Amino acid sequence: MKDTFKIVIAEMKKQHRHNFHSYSIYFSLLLWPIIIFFNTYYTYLSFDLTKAPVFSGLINSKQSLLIFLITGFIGYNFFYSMVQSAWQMGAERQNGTLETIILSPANWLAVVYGRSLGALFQNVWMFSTFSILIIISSRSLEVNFFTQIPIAFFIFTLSATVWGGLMNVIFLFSRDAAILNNVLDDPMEFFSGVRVPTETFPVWAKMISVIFPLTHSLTIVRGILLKTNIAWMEAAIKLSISLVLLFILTIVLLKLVEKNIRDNGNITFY
Amino acid sequence: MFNIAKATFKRNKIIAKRAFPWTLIIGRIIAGFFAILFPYFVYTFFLKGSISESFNQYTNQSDYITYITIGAIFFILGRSTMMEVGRALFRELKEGTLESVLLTPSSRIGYHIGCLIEQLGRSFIQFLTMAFFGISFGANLFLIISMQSIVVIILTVLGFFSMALILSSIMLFTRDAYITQNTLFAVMSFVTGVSFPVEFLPKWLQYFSHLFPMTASLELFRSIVIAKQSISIHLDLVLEILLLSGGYLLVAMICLKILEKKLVENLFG
Amino acid sequence: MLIATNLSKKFVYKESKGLFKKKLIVKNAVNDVSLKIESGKIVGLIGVNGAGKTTTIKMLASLIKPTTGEILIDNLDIIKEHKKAKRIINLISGGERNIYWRLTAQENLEYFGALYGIPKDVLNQKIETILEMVGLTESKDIPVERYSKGMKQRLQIARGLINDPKYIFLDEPTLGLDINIAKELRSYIRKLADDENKGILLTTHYISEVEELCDYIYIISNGYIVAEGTPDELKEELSTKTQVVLTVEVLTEQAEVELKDILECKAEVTIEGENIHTIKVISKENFTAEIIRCLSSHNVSILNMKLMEPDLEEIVLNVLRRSE
Ligand SMILES: Nc1ncnc2c1ncn2[C@@H]1O[C@H](COP(=O)(O)OP(=O)(O)OP(=O)(O)O)[C@@H](O)[C@H]1O
Ligand SMILES: [Mg+2]
Repeated sequence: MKDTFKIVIAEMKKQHRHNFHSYSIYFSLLLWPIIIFFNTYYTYLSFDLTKAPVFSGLINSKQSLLIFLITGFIGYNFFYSMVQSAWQMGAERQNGTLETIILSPANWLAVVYGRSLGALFQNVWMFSTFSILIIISSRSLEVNFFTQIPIAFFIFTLSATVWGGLMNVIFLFSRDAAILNNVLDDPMEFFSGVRVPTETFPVWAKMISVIFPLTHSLTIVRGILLKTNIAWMEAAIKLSISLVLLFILTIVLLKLVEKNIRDNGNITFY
Repeated sequence: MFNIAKATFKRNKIIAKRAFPWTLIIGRIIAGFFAILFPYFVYTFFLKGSISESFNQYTNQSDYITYITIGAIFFILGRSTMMEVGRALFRELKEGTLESVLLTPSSRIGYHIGCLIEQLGRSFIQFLTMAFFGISFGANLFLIISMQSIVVIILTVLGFFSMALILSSIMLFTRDAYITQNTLFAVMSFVTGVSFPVEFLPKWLQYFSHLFPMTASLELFRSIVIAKQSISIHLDLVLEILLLSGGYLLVAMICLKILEKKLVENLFG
Repeated sequence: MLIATNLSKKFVYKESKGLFKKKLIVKNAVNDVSLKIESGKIVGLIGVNGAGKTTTIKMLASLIKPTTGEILIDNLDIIKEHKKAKRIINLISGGERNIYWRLTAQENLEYFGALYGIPKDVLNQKIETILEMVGLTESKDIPVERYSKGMKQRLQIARGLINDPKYIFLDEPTLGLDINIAKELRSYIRKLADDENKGILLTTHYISEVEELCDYIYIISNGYIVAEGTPDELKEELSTKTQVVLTVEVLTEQAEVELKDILECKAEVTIEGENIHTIKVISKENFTAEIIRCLSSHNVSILNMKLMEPDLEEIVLNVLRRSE
């Protein structure tokens, strides 16, 4: 257990040292999300928002739209930075460092979650700062805001880490995982309700959205920040179930990967 | 110039045949699909057709789904054209074949035209899929092909082409493709009126948006196809596209010349 | 002692033939290989490209699982207990991969050390000693991307020593290094075996390296061990020829006849020149003594004599040629 913890820390430290100098994350995890956020906000201005409360309790003013969207984007930012960390798994494969990791007796699960956590702390603070500024400037500031924000962060961190673990394992599995990323990224963003409240979805879309833990994390966080009487207990249960399922899937896949690599040895075989 | 275009066309065709960029195309189509799906969901399921006054005012009561479908199609096509043409020289740099291209006294414009023509087929596939998505969401695209709209499409392609050359110079200068292109596309999709009227933006961003030929192209195309106006009452927009494209082509040619000299010095110096 | 018995590795993989057609391919990379590594000894594994050296090493390092066979390290079954085994072995590959280029030497070692669960203060102490040993103390805070090839290779060695392994596997450690650095490296390797009593397995393409370093040699071809022994044993058993070249003055006809007589059917004799003759004798056994006795009994003065020892490279090439 102590070793596991040590590995998680070491992995996070490595990530930090490794990516500290790369400025590309300032674009992919700060500038682009900000542009896309405003793009989305303005897209909503084509609509008559005074009618919104009838359809979704979440949005009843420009302010609440802003908070709705910014929580959506910040949640997505958390999850997307996981995909980025998984991407780097590809580089580790190619550089042979993955083989060096496997050479050691380190617990793979610890490595995988260390990677997710590392990427989180490394990447999301920028956009999160931006988001908090937006939320504060939208003047819905209240006293318990300062207790709500940490809770929201905890929920995002937990669910994104679990998600990131799975992503990392998938990228361990296949060097063609980039395709998967292509196929998974946009649907997740859309169906999790980053930009459109999921409760207004038609049934088929709701069924898809249940799969993504981001959906439930967002429901809870928005419930807290926007103070609606959303059934957040229900969302919390759904989130826990989906996280547990993802965790189990991660472990199963990891066992398979481990066996696959030990049998075929094609970790650096290109 | 024509010969160079033909040769480049032929070579790219062969490369594309050997390794068809499936993942790229599928990725673009998925992105395009969701670019329409988002406003569609808001319109149909969330706000149930309640369009704001300002949208109606700025767009002359346009049909919303048609409006955003056209925006999405333009954006996806613009992005793929600019990427494929704009990245051509950069790719040669990365793959180490740039030297041989630079050594020939061939015309750069010809080279890029070859790239442009070669990818038209793939653009057309994307266009059809996007139009299919749009129509199945209820967009009214049946009037899309007319003499006038074809003229606008040609003008638009010219605009994309000139931007692609600018992109090409920037990439060669910064030696980076990923950040440059994605930043440009994010900005472009935000300011040029892809999914909402440019008039919603703050004034300074509106002025900025007219740096992109696509802003004028989109406005022109929508007026013709949705509002069924004649191109003759929008000659100012035509002029804007021509001036911008011409300007960019000129600037890009000069930049490429200068960069080329530098690159040659670096490669052989 | 590390004892591997009857190791085999069969790779099964798909090769795409066209868009949808896939063919299953079975590749027997290693067949029935048995070998031993004693503590304090350096064992060489040589063979041509694709012979199965790396595959063998990866099995020993627990990176891949043998299809059949057994590996015991001091009676620990390392195929079953590979996590335990990984603590007492390490693998060092040649080339510049396997380390993080954007990190410094210190940071690399801190990371890899943590993967072995080494406590922080012990680790720091160890890093200091190891860096000292491979001579990277001064550049330990520079990112690896600014290192030369030789420095990177030394860092690889340092990395391989981080868990204080009892057995070290070196896969072409001198690949691409200049002669000075390669020489330096060989002296490290020797020291590891002699001073630290580590068991070392080494693959390489340079025969001279094997000759200089190895206490015992395995020659592998197409996945099979085709010959083994100490360098001297191999020379003795496998040499196909000894060559003696003498330069003599006034070789009388009598002497020539008698010499040919003695060596008849046993060796190949060629004699060239006038006044000063060159005699070349190629034989399987060494007849130097007989030749000298014969010549001196006829008062032929020997000006110069060269005995060509069997050459290890020649032997290896021969063995490999025969095993084709
Ligand atoms: N993961 C793998 N999957 C399929 N075949 C493999 C794999 N790894 C190695 N092989 C094959 O097994 C054979 C032995 O390869 P190996 O890498 O062990 O050779 P080697 O002796 O180390 O060669 P070299 O001197 O080139 O390093 C080769 O034919 C190789 O193609
Ligand atoms: Mg090898």
